[in-house]
Parts: sequence; structure tokens; C-alpha cells
Amino acid sequence: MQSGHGPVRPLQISRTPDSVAPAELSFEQVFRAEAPQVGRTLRYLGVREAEVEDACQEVFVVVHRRLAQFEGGSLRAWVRQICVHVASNYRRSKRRHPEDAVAEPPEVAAPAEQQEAVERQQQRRQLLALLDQLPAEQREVFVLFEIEQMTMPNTATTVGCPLQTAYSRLYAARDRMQSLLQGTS
Amino acid sequence: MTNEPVRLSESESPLAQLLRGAQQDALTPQAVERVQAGLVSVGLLGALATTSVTTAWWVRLMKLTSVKWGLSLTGLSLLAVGGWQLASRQQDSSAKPVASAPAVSEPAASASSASVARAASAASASRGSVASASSAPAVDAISAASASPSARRLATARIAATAAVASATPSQPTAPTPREGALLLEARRALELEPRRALALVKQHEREFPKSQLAPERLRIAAEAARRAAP
Repeated sequence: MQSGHGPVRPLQISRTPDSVAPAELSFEQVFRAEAPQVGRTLRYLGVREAEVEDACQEVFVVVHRRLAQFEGGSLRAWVRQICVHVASNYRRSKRRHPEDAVAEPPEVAAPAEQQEAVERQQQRRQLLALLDQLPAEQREVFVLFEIEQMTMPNTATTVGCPLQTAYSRLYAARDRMQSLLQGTS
Repeated sequence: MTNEPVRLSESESPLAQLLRGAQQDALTPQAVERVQAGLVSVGLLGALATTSVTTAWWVRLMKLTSVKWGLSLTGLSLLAVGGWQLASRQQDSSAKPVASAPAVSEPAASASSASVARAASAASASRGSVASASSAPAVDAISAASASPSARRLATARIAATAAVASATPSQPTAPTPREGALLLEARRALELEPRRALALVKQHEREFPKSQLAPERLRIAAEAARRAAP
């Protein structure tokens, strides 16, 4: 069918949108592309609001150290894997030193026109309260799939479990979240 | 191949609304700048910080303060050298080359050790290429200053002398490595709760990376740790 329509184009190997070859990366590019989302990931993985920036910085220190070892593929998944480890360390330290830091920074009174922002903040707080009640491994899968919108295979790789285990964690987390939400409303 | 499950955020449940909100969530640009500034301070984003228009305000402020301190300390050291040369001509004696150090340290000795340490570190920072070898004794001096009040005067003199030497003779610092960045980051973290540990980490950094480009940051952390560790 191709004859008579010009030369046959070579087959393009499709890559996921966030798939990057290691040679294309510089630390600065990774920082610019990922920093805002890394903050979100850490927040929903259970890092206290007051410590999100510190944890974010820690993630990028690790990124800088390991960037040379990045073998290509999904950059987002690779960075999220680091986030999962850093957040896990922060959660552990929170259990060890619960008094070290303020869980939430003091609230700043918002003017009336910022009602939308206030509502967003309330929603965030509500979601965080629900997530806090999930076991850590369910929370990780739920956050990566439902909030970070990663694919299930990438999610499983990121948390380091078999794909089927990731599925069962996701469904368990969903059930728990739904029932918690119904309980609160 | 397993099909991807439908995401909850695509449904119409109350949970979906929360999830859609969370997906829009991100660090604010100000927070990103603060993180960036933190990475700059440990040397991981140096080039970005100097060229970026959006550099955090406090980095700019720090630079201004450093320049101010650098100029004043350079002026002081020039005065000291001038005075020493005048004195040596008058006395026609063989003056020791380190005689300039006490001359610089005398006015500084009246100030508190912490403030002098900050001045020393700021002056070093303003140089860009700090004399790393000479910054090593400065960290010792700063930690000595925190140890006992009797040692403070001597330590203050050493710090001021180090700053003067650093401003006078820039050397060739080495490019920062991720490990040393991480070490200083850890020291900075430990500042608030464990200043003595911060001091120990700074000393470790000094041992492992004596000619580091991060020597100004090391001095700053050491000075702050000494201030906090002081009884």
C-alpha cells in the first residue's frame, strides 16, 4: 500500500511521554521539570507540611547523586521512587520524634476573595486525614496511581512489589478510603 | 496484559473531587525557589543560581551582605598591612610576617566571637574562591570559641586572621561533589537541634574536603553551630 506514496517511513518506536534517555538529562532540567510535583508527592505520601521543602531538597540531593545511574525510561517514576524512600524515612522519623516539628504551619487568615484557595486547602486537609489512616504500602500505591497518575506497572516498580500485589493494595486502599469517607460524611 | 483500572478521579464520587484537587496541587513557585536556594547553598545548583532571574531573595541579600563584609574586612586588612609596614620602617627591625594578624584581630576582639565568626565566613564567602586551606583552622577556631570563654579571645584572633588571609590570598578551590554537598546539608539540618553534631559534620567536611568550593558555607554553618552550642 505504501508504493506510490513516497518512501516508506521507518517504524517509530513509541515512548511514553515522560520517557527520557539518560544522555538527554541535566540536573537543572530534572529540577525544573519535577520540583513542584515532587513537593505534592511528598505531601501526600505523608511528609508533614512543615517538612515538605526539606524533604524535597533531600530528594534532589539524591537525584543529583544518582543521576549518572539513571538508565533511561520514565523519569517521573524514577524520581517518585526516590520520593517514596525519602517520605518513608520522614514518616519513620516522625514516629521517633513526634515533637520535633509542627505538623502544620500556622494558618494565615485569607481574604474573602481567596475562598477558593481556602476550600482547596480544606479538601487537601481532608484527603490527607484519610490517607493518614491507610497502611504505608497501600498509601504509596494509592498516591502514585490516583494522584500522580502513574501507570500500574510503573507504580509497582516504584514501590518495589509485584504488579498483582500493587493491584491488590490499590483496591484495598480504595475500599478503605471510600468507607472512611462515608464514615466522616 | 492487564488493563489499567479506571482512575477514581474520573468518576463522580466525593473522593474523586478530592483527588482531582490533589492532582492540581503542587509546590508554590516561592517554595520551589526556597528549595532551589537550599540546593544552591550546598553547591548542587550553582550555575542555575547565578544565572536565574528567579533566584530567591535571600540569596541576593546574602550576596549583598557578603560583599559589604568583604569590603570592610579587605579595608581592615589593608590598613593593618599599611600600619605594619610603617611600624617596621620606623623600628627598622625584622618584623614577622604574621604580625598583621593581631593588628586585624584587635578591633575585632571586642566583638562577640559569633559575630566575628559570621563576619569571617561572610568575608570568605564574598571572595568566591576562598582560601580553603586557611578556612580549615577557622572552623577549629570557631568550635574553640564555643568551648570556653577563655578561649574565645584567642579564637577570635585566629578567625579574623584567617579571614584576612583568605581575603588576601585566594587559592584554587576544587569543584563540589555530591557527597560533600550532602554532608553540609546534613550539618545544616542538624544546626537547630544538634549544633554539636553539626559542628562535628563540618569538621568531617573540612577533613575530607579541605579545598572545597563550599568552604564559605562550611564556615557559615560552623559559626552558627558554635553560636548555638555555646553555653
